Amino acid sequence: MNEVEETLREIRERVRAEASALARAPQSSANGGDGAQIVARDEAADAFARMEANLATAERAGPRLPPVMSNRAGLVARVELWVKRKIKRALRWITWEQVNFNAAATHALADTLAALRAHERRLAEMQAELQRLGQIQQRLEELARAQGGLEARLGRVGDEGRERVERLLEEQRVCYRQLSLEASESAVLFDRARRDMESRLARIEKTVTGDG
Amino acid sequence: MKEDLYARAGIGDVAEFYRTKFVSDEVLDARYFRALDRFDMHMARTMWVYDNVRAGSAVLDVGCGAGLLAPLKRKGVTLAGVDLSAECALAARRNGYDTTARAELTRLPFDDASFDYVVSLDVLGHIDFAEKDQVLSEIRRVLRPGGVTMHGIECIDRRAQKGYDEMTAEELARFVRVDGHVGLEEEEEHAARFRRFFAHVEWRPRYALCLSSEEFVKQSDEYGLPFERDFVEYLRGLSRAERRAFDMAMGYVFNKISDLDLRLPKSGLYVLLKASDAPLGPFYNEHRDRRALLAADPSLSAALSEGGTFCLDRHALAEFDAGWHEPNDLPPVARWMSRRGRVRFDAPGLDALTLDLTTHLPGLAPARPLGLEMLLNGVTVARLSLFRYGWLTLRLDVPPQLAAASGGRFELEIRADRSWRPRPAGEGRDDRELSVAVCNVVAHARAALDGARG
Repeated sequence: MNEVEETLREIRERVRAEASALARAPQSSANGGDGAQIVARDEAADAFARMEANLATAERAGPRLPPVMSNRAGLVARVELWVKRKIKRALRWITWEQVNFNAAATHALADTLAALRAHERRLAEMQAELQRLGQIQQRLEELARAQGGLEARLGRVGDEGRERVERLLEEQRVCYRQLSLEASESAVLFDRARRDMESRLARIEKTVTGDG
Repeated sequence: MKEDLYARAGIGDVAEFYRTKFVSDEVLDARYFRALDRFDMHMARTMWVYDNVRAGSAVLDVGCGAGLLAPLKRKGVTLAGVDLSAECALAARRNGYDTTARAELTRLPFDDASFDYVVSLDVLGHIDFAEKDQVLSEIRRVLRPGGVTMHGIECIDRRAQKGYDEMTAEELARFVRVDGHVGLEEEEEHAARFRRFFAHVEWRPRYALCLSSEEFVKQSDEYGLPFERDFVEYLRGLSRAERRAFDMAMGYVFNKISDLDLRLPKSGLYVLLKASDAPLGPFYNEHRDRRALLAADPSLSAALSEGGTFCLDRHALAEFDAGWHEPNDLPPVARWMSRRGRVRFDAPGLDALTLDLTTHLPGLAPARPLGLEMLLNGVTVARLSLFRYGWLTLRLDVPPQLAAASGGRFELEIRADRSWRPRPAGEGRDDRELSVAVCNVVAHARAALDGARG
């Protein structure tokens, strides 16, 4: 009776594992650019689930031999069971080796599963790290592009500045030239006024002297 | 009340308000004055003063702004100016005033009896009623015995316009913000006020007939004067050259009214007023002598050109034709040219001409340069393509055969293959046709060059 219950539990776990794998499949395909990675991760998860179910079966069956049983009835059944018990006892030396091997193989597979799970987690972490690095790289590329634009703009501003300074210098040169011309004119006019004044004074002096 | 009215109009800094209203890059310097401008309506008030001051006298311009009386320097007067705004005082100084100062008009910074004439144009309408008497008292103080004070005063006609007390707060603010008028009075009220300070007062309503095109539009738009709507719209649509022609015609009529001593009816806009303690002479043209305005003094020309090198920009030593616009302070002070401009001048023994030129033509590039051609007495002496902004100095050597055939009389012509209009429409419209700006046009005579080489 106990064995029947265990068999039914195995079947239930296997069905649940397959159902959960089926339920995850459409969700993964709806995730755009990262879909391929997610599908791969889900396939690994399904494989892990199936492996866990198989290991559960192997653990249950591994450490012992099946019970002696008969489908017959009456004397024939008793004879059959007696023969089987004798054979079981007679072959015990070899069947226990098989049982031990089964147990060792089950444990090894369980350890492998644990190692694979650890690798899977590590892989997921690395993938996340890679994704983060990708984002950083993308940001760096954007910054480099912006820096390039900024450098070009700075260059343009520098050129404009130089051009303005050149124009200002030209403007100053022309203004100085204008001032210089005006100063020359003023000097000429001043000299003319001075000479005029001197000649007037001379005339007055002459008049005064003549009167005297 | 003055502060109240300005404050109520939202004008916090009165000096700054006037600086922005009345200071521009316009060159009023007498050395750049064009004889033809004596007919320009904008110069009508200046010409009235010009024809009424004695040559060689001392003149004070009260509220001088940027220096509207600068042409008086052609008459050899000593010209002083005061203004509420330091920038205005500086601008007037740049325009040739002998001395300028920033000062309140109620406390003039001059000694008693310092001037033969004290003049103001468009000032008394900006002075609060409470201060007007103090200003007139100061004018009387600085005026020499027998001196004459002359004023162009904005007026109000209360039959047609609301007084300050009748305006709503909004109307008052709008009215004051237009020009800063906080002290407008009727023509007769101005005369009565002057009579309290001077024994002889005479006044004439002006601008009853003649206004500049700009003033017609402004009086209609800003002050609501009832000019014919279609006429104002017509004026609004005129180009700069057409407005200039209109203003010249108006100015010509204004001058003739003065010459004929015609008395116009009250305009309610503006009055010219003369006052003195001594009996007044003729209201118009008391000291009319425009010779210095019409042409350069021959002895001055001779003095400036005797060194062999002289600049044609100033002193009417050269005649710039209508292809040139009025000088602007870019800086330097330069004349903008339309597509073609001519300069006529006398320069015996001319060997070379030098000049500085620039352009602000939009879209100038090596692929699309501005083509220029220089002709001297009709002969092409240079062709060039201008493809960058900034100033360029040009030297034009005069071919000996051309100099020999000229008889000492030259005409420099500059032709440009393109032009542009700075602001062809909208507010602050400037639809002048411009190509290059030119200054420092210097004539170099052979003798001077030989002397310099020797």
